Amino acid sequence: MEAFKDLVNTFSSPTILFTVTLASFFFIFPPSDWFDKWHRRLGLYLLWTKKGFIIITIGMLGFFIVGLGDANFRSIVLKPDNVPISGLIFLLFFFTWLSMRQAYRNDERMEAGEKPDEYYEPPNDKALVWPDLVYVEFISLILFSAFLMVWSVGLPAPIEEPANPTESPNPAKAPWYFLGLQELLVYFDPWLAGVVFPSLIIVGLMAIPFLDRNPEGSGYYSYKNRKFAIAMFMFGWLILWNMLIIVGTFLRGPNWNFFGPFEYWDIHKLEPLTNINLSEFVFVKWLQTGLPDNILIREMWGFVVLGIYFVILPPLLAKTLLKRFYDNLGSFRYAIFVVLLLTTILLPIKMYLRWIFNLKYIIAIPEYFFNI
Amino acid sequence: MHQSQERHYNILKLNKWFAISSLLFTFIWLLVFANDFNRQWKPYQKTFRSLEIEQIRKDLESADKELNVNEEFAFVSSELKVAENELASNEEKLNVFQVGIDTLDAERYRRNQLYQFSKALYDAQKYTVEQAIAGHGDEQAAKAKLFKLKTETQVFKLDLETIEAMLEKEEASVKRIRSSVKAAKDNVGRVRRNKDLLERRLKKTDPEAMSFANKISNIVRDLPVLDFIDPYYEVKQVVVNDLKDDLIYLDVPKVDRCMTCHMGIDKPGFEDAAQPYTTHPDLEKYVSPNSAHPMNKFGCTTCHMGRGRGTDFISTVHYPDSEQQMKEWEDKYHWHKLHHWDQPMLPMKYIEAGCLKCHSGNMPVNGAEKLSLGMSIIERGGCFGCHQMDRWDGNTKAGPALTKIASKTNKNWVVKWINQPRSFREETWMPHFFGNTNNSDEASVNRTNQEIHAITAYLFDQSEEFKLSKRTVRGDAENGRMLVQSLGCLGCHKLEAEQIEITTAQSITREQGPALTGLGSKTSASWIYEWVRNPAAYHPETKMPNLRITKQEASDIASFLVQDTHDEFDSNTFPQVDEEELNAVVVDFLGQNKRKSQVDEKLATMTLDEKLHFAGEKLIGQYGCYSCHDISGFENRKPIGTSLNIEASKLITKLDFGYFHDDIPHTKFDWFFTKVKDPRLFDMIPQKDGSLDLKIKKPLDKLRMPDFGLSDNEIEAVVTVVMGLVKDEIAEAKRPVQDERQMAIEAGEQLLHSNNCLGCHMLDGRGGAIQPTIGTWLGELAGTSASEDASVVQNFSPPMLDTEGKKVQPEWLLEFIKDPSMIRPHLQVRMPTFNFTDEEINILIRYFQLKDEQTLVYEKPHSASKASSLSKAGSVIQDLGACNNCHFYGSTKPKQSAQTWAPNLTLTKERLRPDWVVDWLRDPQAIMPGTKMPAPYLPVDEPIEDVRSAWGKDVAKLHPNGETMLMALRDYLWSLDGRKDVSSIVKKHLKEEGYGFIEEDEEDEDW
Repeated sequence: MEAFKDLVNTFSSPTILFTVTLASFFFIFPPSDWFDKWHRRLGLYLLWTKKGFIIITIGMLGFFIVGLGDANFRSIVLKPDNVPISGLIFLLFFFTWLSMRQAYRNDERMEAGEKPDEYYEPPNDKALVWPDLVYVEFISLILFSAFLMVWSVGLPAPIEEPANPTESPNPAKAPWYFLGLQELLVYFDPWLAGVVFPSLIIVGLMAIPFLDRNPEGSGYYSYKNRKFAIAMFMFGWLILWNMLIIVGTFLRGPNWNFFGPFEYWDIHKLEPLTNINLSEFVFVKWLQTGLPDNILIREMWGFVVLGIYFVILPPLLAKTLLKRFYDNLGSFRYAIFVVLLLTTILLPIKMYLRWIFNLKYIIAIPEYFFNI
Repeated sequence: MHQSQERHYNILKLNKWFAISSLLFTFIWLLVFANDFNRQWKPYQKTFRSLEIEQIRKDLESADKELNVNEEFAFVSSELKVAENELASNEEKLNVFQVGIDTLDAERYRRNQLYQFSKALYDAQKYTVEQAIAGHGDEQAAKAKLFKLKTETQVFKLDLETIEAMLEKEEASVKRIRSSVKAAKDNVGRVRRNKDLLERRLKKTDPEAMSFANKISNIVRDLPVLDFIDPYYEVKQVVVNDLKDDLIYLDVPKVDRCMTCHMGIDKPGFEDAAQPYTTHPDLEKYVSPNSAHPMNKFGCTTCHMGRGRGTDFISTVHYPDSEQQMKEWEDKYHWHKLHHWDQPMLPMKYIEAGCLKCHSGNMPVNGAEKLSLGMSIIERGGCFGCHQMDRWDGNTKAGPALTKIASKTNKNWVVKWINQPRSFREETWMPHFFGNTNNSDEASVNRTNQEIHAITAYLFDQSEEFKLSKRTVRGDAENGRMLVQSLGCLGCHKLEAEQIEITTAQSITREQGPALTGLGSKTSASWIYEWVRNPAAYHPETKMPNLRITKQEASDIASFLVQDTHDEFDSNTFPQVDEEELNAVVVDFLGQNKRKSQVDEKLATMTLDEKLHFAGEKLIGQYGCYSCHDISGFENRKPIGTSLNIEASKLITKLDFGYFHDDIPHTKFDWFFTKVKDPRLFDMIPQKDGSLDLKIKKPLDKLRMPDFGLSDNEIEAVVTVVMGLVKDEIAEAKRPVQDERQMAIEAGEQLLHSNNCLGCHMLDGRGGAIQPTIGTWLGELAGTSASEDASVVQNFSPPMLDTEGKKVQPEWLLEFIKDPSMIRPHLQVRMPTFNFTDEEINILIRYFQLKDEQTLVYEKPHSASKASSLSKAGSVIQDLGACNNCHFYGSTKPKQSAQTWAPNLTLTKERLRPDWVVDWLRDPQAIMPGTKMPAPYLPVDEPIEDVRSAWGKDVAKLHPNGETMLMALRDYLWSLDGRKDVSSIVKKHLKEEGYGFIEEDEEDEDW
């Protein structure tokens, strides 16, 4: 048991967890034919069958039930604040599974020359509002109200000590839905993590219908027709948003230190803070001089790197990897698409740079609160 | 069914779903109500109601019984019966009257209405007329109408008054007939008032005693949902607006709901009921409306802490007194500590902490024994030296001055003493800095041994010269022993380690000074000789007073005290100075503000003595030795410990539980307890096998608080004080009135306490810890019959100070304290000379004066002439009363032997206050229980002829008024003249004849 807990704790460390998830992710949600081939070969498509659902659900349930035997796990998971989030993990899986199963079934149907499941012949291609839909909604409303009452009585409000303006709780956590963003604060300056990224996420979501004008798969679930789009979206949604929320909720403890699910949240745990900026890498480590006084000269290398990333890389990609997109989207929409894509990828890149090189900022101008 | 309609779902199936979900919803909705209705406190209120009914019925029964045997009740009852019979005989007459009254009343009603209407019209017309005068309407016509209405109204009024007069007359007649019955009823009601009240209470409480309608409403008022109107079972609370709950930057008025379950708390009669129904154990002081702390003005949590707004066992944060109780509660109430409330209820063992909030000025705090003990321990232990506590600002340091230490003892003794003080003296207040939990490993011991050498070296380096004069007389140790036992030394010192089972505020008074053991190992006879003769010469701040000891006495005492040596301590050896180890200490201190190269350079230039001196000075600063001892070079240092002024209001998150989070209950008092019990524990990491391992810390970063070796009881007392150090701002109205008297009492109590007056004297039933040692001495002197007789022991002990303010004249007290002189010739124990300033003496005098409510600053001196007939009468009474048996009359010795001697009566007029003397003579036992002084015999009951013949005419004149006879005695005392200081006579007598105990020992020859 202890060995299992240690294994889980080790596996939950951010580097391993993120790397493993990242490495396996595109085999589960294949963005291209090559990945799809391995997806089939590894049998991962079985995830989206009833058997897959049962196995994964039992696995997750089992993990929680076994885990609850551990005092540390219990104190985190059963904290009234966190109970709904544990529930959301199951819901997240359930709805992902539901849509993916439907998509796969439709894919199969269409391969067999049938129409997708959601297709109805006219005049049946409509929703029956009264009384069918309204009635069902009404019943759901009653049941849900009953559920809420049971919940509110059974799990009282998590009242804590009287608020103290001079003492922030440790760890100080944002509301659960913002914990993904808070996690980004570890790797990015607040103006990026707190302002630019959330704006870009909203703008990006709004831009989707303008960027992705592929009519195939519209109005019904399917995967085959829009592998890349779905894989990319799922990457952003599951990894960069939901996984970071789970990490932020369950694995971040006092002083925002990282704790495995079975680890005691020891306020005294210390992690070495030895992160350095790119400018220090270049001037101090490699050139072995001091930092230049001129800010622009000092941060020149960061500008160069980001310049390459955001200015040189897009046209190169347009000619190579993303040629298909460039051809489809045209230069303007391609430009928007590629900037959003590169920004998204910047996040894992920055995380790895931090873990591997202890890189703090690529451009660090704290004098003007400009750090990237 | 409209089959033609399009359907996606089967509507019947949906209907079923709807039915099921609606039922489910309704069921859960009812559950929510039930959940809301079922409160933990309700069953308690129901049980208490039945207890209360039981009690009322019992009271009612006894009230009934009382009435049955009450003669007055029987009398008034029979009176009532007579009156009622009489009334019955007048029944017919009354009926006739009643018919008349009814008719008249109907007529009065009619006429009244006529008058009222007419008056209304008249009033309205007045307005119309005024309008007309102002130019709106016909003035003439309006005025005419007004006149007509006025006349009409007056007529109606007269009619009404006529009939009212008639009515009154008739009613008066009826009243007259009924009057005797009413009077009798009033009388009965007065006598059975208590029973009526009980019956009324019963009717409100007991459904069985209720009327049918009330029975129904009794049920309805407590039904779910309806119970919002006026339920019987409800949350009860007191709101105290000027006492606040501290919610961190937000003070909210105290709301205490404790009495929702503790319903009997303010009602006498439930003393033996189970919790939570029990009556408060001390209603005289607390809770009841007439007490000093009524519940509606102070609430409960002001003293008890906890969460007053809670209404169930857990949310009020009850806290168990012991682990056993904790287990019980866990089983019974599923108790756990509410983690998020910082101030759990104080367990009974710390309950007195609540007193300190308001009564910190007193010492001792009356009725709070543990708290008072804790405060004494803090003074003795010198906690305030390192930990700032405003309550003890200005207190002198707890330990002796070390500025002249070289004259007192030697380095060899000092190193061993610093290392393990308790190995020399089990009960010493000097705490252990070394050999504690975090510095007992070999490496630490090697290091701390050198630290001790360094500290010692510094102290001796800095020691000033103190010349010990040569003893000119040889000491007699045996006589010294008797002196130590009899002079009063043992009011503050112990002579040998006395095993006291449990330390109390009383027993600790004998630890004012160190135990007088092992002095031969520690110091020299010369030093003791010098010290006892004038303690202030060696240590100006010392609390040791001057007992006016002669050279011979001092020499005897010194000879006796150096006899006792501590052989085991003497035979211990202590490792020598080891320069290499010492270097490590020096390097650590040098390295605090120097680079390694500088440190090395500096170290190379230092001699061994320099190193010792340097490290010693740094270490004394590091360990805070100067907090308790005067040490040259540390005159203006700040305390090293954390301030404890508001320690109990500190958030618990500020207390570092270290690696003992799971081992110590998460409360402040448990943390404090652990901290005092083992101050260095939090430097450790507990191991699975129960042992402890050190955290990785540099020697200078280790915890420094020393170990005082206190018993659990003593630690609890200290924690009680600390738990009372809060930042709560108590409204003026809720604090003891800070008037002149209160302030004088607080200052006086503090002075008495810090000079340990109650080590010898008794006051208000406290103090007098010296008495058992007086008993021991008496036993040696006069055998067990004397030592076992409490009144003899008391007689030979320092006097009680009760009524001192009423008793003595302030001017005399001033002179006496400045320079004590002999009052009680038989006493060996001496009132010491304290080095009091005028200010301190005034504090003392004001204390005694105001305590006894003597508010006059100046009083007319009493005077009496020998020639007055009152004095003459007094002279006869004293003569026949044989006062001279015990009292000195100037140089005239008492007739009886020295053991019963009493004060010189010529002292009376300048020493005592005349009113008090009369009180005293009337009944000495009332003022000083146990005194040997009898009340003088007064011939008040004898026939006047006998008095005239036996007592003379002056006394007979006063017969049979005892009070004036006492005044006569007083005047006689005031007319006495003669020698005041009889000490030389006493000395001579005791030397020649001794005390005159029947079983005298040979030793008495010395006296």
